[in-house]
Amino acid sequence: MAVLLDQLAIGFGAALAPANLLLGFIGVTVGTAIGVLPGLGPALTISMLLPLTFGLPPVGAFILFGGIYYGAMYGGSTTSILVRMPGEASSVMTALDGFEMTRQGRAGAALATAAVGSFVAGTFATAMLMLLAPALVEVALGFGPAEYCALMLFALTALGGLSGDSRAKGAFAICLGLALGTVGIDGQTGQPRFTFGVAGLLGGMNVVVVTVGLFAVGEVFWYAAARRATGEARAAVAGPVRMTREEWRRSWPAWARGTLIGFFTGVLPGAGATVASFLSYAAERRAAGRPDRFGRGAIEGVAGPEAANNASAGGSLVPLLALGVPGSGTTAVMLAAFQLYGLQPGPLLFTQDSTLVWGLIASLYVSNALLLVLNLPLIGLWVRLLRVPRPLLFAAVLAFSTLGVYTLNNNLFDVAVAYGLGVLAVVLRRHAVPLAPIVLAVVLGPLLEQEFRRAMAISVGDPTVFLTRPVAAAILALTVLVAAGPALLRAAAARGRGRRGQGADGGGGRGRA
Amino acid sequence: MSPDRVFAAAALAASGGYLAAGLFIAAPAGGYDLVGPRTFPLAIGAGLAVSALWMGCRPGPAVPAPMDWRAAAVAALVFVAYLACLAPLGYPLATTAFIVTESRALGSRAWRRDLAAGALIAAAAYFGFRLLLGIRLPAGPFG
Repeated sequence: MAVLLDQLAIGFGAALAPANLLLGFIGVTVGTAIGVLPGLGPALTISMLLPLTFGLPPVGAFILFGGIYYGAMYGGSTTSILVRMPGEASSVMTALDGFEMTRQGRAGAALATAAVGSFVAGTFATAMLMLLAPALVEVALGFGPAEYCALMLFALTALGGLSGDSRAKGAFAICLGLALGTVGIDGQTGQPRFTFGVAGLLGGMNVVVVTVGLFAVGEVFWYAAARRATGEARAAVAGPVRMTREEWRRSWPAWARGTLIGFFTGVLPGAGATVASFLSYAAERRAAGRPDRFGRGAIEGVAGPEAANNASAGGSLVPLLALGVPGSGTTAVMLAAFQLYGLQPGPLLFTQDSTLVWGLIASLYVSNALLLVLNLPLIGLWVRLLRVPRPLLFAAVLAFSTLGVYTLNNNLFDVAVAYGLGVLAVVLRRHAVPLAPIVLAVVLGPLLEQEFRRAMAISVGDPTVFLTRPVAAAILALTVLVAAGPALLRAAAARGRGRRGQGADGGGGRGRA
Repeated sequence: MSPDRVFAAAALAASGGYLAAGLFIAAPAGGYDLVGPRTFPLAIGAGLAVSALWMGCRPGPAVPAPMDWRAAAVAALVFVAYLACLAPLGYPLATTAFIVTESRALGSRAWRRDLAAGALIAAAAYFGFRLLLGIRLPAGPFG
């Protein structure tokens, strides 16, 4: 422990040099600014800034990257909360209750719980990274295709009844997302699927394109179609900025759960921030005891997922630093950055370049703190953004979405896909089909299929592999529990009360507009 | 027929189309793969069809808001025009024009304010991308 603290002190010594603080500050500012724009995420920003950092010493460059990473993660939540337009898949859940809070005049509190939650989660996740990295590597190595497959199924099921009121529509949304995920070249056999000879579809559906299309573009078209009917009634109120005592009290447990869920989900390669935020939202709904508050402005629904997606950033560094295996798009780019400096992440990095590793860990703490310092005062400013008239704000958002989607691969085809999905989103919303499950299914579908096929190939076609491996079986049992749990609870409640025939399963759409 | 039933019927038709297209996926000869490239698409297609039928059996109450499809179509058309103009007009000009016309399509009547805001946003994005990120957006005739 003493050695650990010594090393950390040396790391902080490097990270707190004035030049590095300045770099961290620039990183957080640029990251937040870019994260706010729909479609532009941390991976893109870091990869574009990579050439600019050639002249910097490694610690300085990583402080800059850390700042961008955390800044962009946080920035994505801002548009989710203020205008219900998540720019990345990982802030989709934040929009559900965050935007409801904005409508009720609690935008300031929602942004504050996201900012403080991100800070708490980032700090504790970095601490866990420090203490648990070696042990976690063992666990992650034990995760084979069967376990991953079970985990993906669990995430999809946990999400099934999550948003919207009709289970049929939730199931339809998931299947739709899975179907979108099958477009493109099949990774294992190289067969094109559902591409209809269109070259632009060969690469498959980009998750950013899907998110921006369904949410940002869809929101604008929905506004155009429903504006006259609903009038300005849905225009948001600015309201006070601070969180109330009650909101603090409800945020703490959500941050804590979100941090744990986020960190451990982040450790698993491929799962990452999106799954972490969905699982955290599901956990909050269960923990609250009154799931009906969710989707109507429950602060836990913002606090949990925001903490979770930030904590997953810390978790995803575990496989990168300890094994040299990047677990997410952003850490893949960071791996490239390591290699630019002639460093090979992995077990040896901790012993050979310990100054650098501890400098990086210290710089994560520093950029996290800078993020809070920068963003808490800015909340008032963001909330004032709501006073911009909707037509102008939405036109500008469309322009930025176009830019974000276009710069992904520099082609207009992606923009056209996002635009088509925006039209689809209007139709789906008209019929109260929830959009959030579609995004998660697009993320998870290809992974689920790949891991399932790998597991079956390893077991030579024996499907019992999912039941004979203990971890996989345990996750599957949990999945069944989650799937059947609500129905069992409902049955028990109905038997308990007995008199009211109209139960929870009305199957109706509440009209999510 | 309630709008939700019509939607469920359309969803069912779409899942039929998806399944049919899924049947055309070529499976590799030899069949060394126990779960081929067709397995998941066909299973997902079946799931789509079942959930569409399920929706049809339990239509929700119609969403109350009457939809202004014309306004939505105009907003979409302005967007298409923007994409078409990007290359010939260049990013700054096309984006300014887009923000002004799209704001108007969405109900704004203050075109002077929209023009100022649009020009500012377009210029900021153009130079921000060029200087900070090193991405050259189409410059157009004045580049």
